[in-house]
Amino acid sequence: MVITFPHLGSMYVFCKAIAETAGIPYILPPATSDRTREIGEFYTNESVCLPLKIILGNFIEALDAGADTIVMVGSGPPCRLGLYDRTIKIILDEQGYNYRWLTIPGIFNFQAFLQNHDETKELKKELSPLNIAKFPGAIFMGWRKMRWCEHLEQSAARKRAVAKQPLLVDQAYNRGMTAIDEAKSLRALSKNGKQAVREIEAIDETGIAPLRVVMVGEVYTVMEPTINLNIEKRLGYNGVEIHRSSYFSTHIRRGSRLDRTIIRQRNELMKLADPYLKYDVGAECNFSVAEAIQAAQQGYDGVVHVYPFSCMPETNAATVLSTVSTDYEIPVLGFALDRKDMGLRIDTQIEAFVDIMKMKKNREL
Amino acid sequence: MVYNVYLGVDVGSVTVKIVVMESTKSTILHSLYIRTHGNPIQAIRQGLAEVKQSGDYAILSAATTGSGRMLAAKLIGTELVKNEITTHTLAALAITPDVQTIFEIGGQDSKIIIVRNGLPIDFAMNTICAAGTGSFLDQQSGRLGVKVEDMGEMALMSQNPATISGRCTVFAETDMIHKQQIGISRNDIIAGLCKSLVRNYLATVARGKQILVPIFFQGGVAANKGIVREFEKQVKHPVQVSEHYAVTGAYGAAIYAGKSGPAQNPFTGFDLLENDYQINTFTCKKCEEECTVLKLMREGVLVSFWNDRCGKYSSGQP
Amino acid sequence: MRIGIPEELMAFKWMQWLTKQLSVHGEIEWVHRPSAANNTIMLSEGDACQPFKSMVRSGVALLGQVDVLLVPRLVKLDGQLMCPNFRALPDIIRLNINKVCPDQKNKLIDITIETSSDKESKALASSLIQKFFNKTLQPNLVNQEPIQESVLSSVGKEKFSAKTIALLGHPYLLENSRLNMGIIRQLKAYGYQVTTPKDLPFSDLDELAKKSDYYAKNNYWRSSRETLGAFYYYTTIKKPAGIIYLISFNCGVDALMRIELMGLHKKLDLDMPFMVLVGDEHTQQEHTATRLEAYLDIIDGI
Repeated sequence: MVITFPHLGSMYVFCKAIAETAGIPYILPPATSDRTREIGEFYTNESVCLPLKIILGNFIEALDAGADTIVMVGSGPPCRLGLYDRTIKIILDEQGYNYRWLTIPGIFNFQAFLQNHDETKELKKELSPLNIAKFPGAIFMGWRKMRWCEHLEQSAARKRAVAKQPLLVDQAYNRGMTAIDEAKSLRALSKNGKQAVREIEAIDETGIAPLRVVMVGEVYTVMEPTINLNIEKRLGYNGVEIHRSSYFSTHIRRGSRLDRTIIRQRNELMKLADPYLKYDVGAECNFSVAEAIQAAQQGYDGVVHVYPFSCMPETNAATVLSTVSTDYEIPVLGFALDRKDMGLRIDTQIEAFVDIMKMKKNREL
Repeated sequence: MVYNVYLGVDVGSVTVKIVVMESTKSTILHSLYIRTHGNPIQAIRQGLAEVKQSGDYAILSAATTGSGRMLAAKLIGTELVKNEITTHTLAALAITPDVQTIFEIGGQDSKIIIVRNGLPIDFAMNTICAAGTGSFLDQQSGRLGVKVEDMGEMALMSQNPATISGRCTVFAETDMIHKQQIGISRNDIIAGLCKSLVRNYLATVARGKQILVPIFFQGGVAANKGIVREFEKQVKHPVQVSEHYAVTGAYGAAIYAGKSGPAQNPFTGFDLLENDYQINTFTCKKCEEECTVLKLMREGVLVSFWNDRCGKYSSGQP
Repeated sequence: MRIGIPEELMAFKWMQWLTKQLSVHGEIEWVHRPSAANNTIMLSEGDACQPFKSMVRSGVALLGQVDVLLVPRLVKLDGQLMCPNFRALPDIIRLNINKVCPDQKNKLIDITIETSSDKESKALASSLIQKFFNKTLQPNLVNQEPIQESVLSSVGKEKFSAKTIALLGHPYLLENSRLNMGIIRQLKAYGYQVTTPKDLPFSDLDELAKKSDYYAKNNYWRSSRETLGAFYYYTTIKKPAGIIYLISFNCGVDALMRIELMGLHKKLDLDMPFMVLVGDEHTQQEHTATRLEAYLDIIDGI
């Protein structure tokens, strides 16, 4: 068995750590590149959301490199995320790939449990008793690594906006990510994680207060820099500190339904969006709207809304956000992402967005 | 007499615009509009040569804007670089301080900027094709055998604009060709093009924005009276076009230069005319980004690098 | 009382049933098409599919002609989910009304519809009758639709006439000649009969669609199940000369089902020609006509 999983946000760190700690051979798909996108586009069509294309590309590249078991997070209705696995399987079958599939339940319910039981029946036979015994520890290690990565991301986002030399932040961030990834024990992990954060915190600052912006939108697009074309970095280089609630660990906590705080927060956000959307449209639609309203109420300078082209819930969120922007007098910059060639346009729009926020804050041109 | 001036250079995808702005009253002393024909360095050079010849100027500082602003900044030796959305706004406000809406259609970009109480508060740029810009009109003028400058007048002569549709400019062209084949007049087709361009602009770039007067229309396409007429018809408000419609980006850059205080280094742009400049590129394979790194050479000697994502070349630490 | 419902929504059988129930309990004039197109540019429509944009625009345009604008929030029909756009529809219309004609905003009524059974349907109709006429639902007036017989067992017993083409796609596309690029008219002009899933009981199509379901991964959209089930029906039970799948550009639901059906067509190794036609407000007449003609040439065997 050689497993593989999507190269997405901090999710891959989670999966990689589990595989390593439990001693299961794995292949990490290559970092998302133009080739990954091309593969995804080739086997789908123009109205398919970008995350599906990229995940498909990841899997094909990994299968080509020798993986035979795909591990993927499951999800449900009402948006298309819930059908990713079904659609990807159809495409892989058509191309003649041989593979097995293991779903990490996105929602912990009985159907998911049954599916998991069915999938693991065969796979379990290929694991040694040692692998299986190491599982709980592996999951814990995976979780801790993922949390450290997210902590590092947040540190970097804060520092990038105020650093004298923002490039140093990314260099330190990359080093830190590698050190966290390579840690073989919980003790080493803690040491490396703390060291990485310290290095970032130590970078010299300009002393100029950053603009503060909340990023909202579809989950994979917000979490994965190669899908959102590194927007967090681009904004950071322009003196903007990015805040977001969407991290891979948040989604796991939410899906487990064990975390009461998150459930309560979500209910409050739904109420906040109620004047605009009286029903849960699905996925993050209402939450994108609610978090933008919250950002305005909490005095943030602006909102960035990122989502894949043709995403139904977020297309509706974008419509609503244009009204929210006027009603709450907060600049909202929206991007429907699909292709990489938007790079220069994104920079131009980000610069103008920053100018607008500055002018608003200083009340002058 | 020698004038103290600020220089604004707007390097777009199809044209280069330069404005020489007098420093105390901010009036435009000279402006140029040059087609790049795929060679921006040559166009910038040509522009600077014209500037030098047109008057006695002491250039206090310069700023660049447009999609080629980084290249221009390296060439003329300035640190002042400003995105074209903001520079267009600065220019519009200088011309009409109470402007509330700016339409801008250039060679390959179109934008809308919303201004309230003298400050820009919102904008949008065309993203997924569909808007139709200056380049499309250029291409079609060639195919129809008319001069692009004449298209406006020809559109005005039509009473019956054809309906041209198409999700992208290629399909719009298909529709146009078809209309020609069934015998619709050239004036009606050109008027139809204008109508379609404006309709697409309003439905995509301008969608959802609150359009209030005064409305300003800028960018090369503002020369086309057929388009201006269509805008007024479709938004049901008067649309103003200033005499400086073509160079507002460069004007805004000059204004920005003026606001930015004395230059860090003296202006060396005219140097460009004396020496041989070249841009070489190479692909850096040190990581999976595979950036196309640009090298500026003067007389065969390296001046600077740029376009590397991680900055290892441009920061001088390869 | 004049009640407006955008005509696209009337393509659903359930909506037709609902309006009938309301009509027998009170005096209603139904308005489905605005007399004048609404050309005000409203809120940004984003890259939504053409039918959605159309529904929003006609919703706002109908306001002036009616006393009540009824925009149901179609969450679930026949026990299966509808596209998420339907959940947002009344709110998007409301936001546009606030912008364009705020003085009329009280005319908008939205009612959430999640039906899986007759009992639920009756309850919904009942609440609307109460709301509009202050009456209770009269059971004896409730229109009983004739129960559609299951067609699953008719394998090989019936055939379509030789020149029949089956059309797949959302009901509001197939019923609306503006949205379906006039394809039904064109097919008839070529001498073909047209059949659509409208003639088949949804419960049968749902059953057929189960062939592709598996644990925790049923295709959960009503329209997808209808399309998939109909595809199975037309390829295994009662076969037409060909199948055409009509899709609106940027319909997310169909984008995935398109991949599934093309894969299925290859897998089943069928003799029957299958074509996907993507269209929207930018699609030109020649575009559709050329493809249709070529497709029919293949079927006719030229």
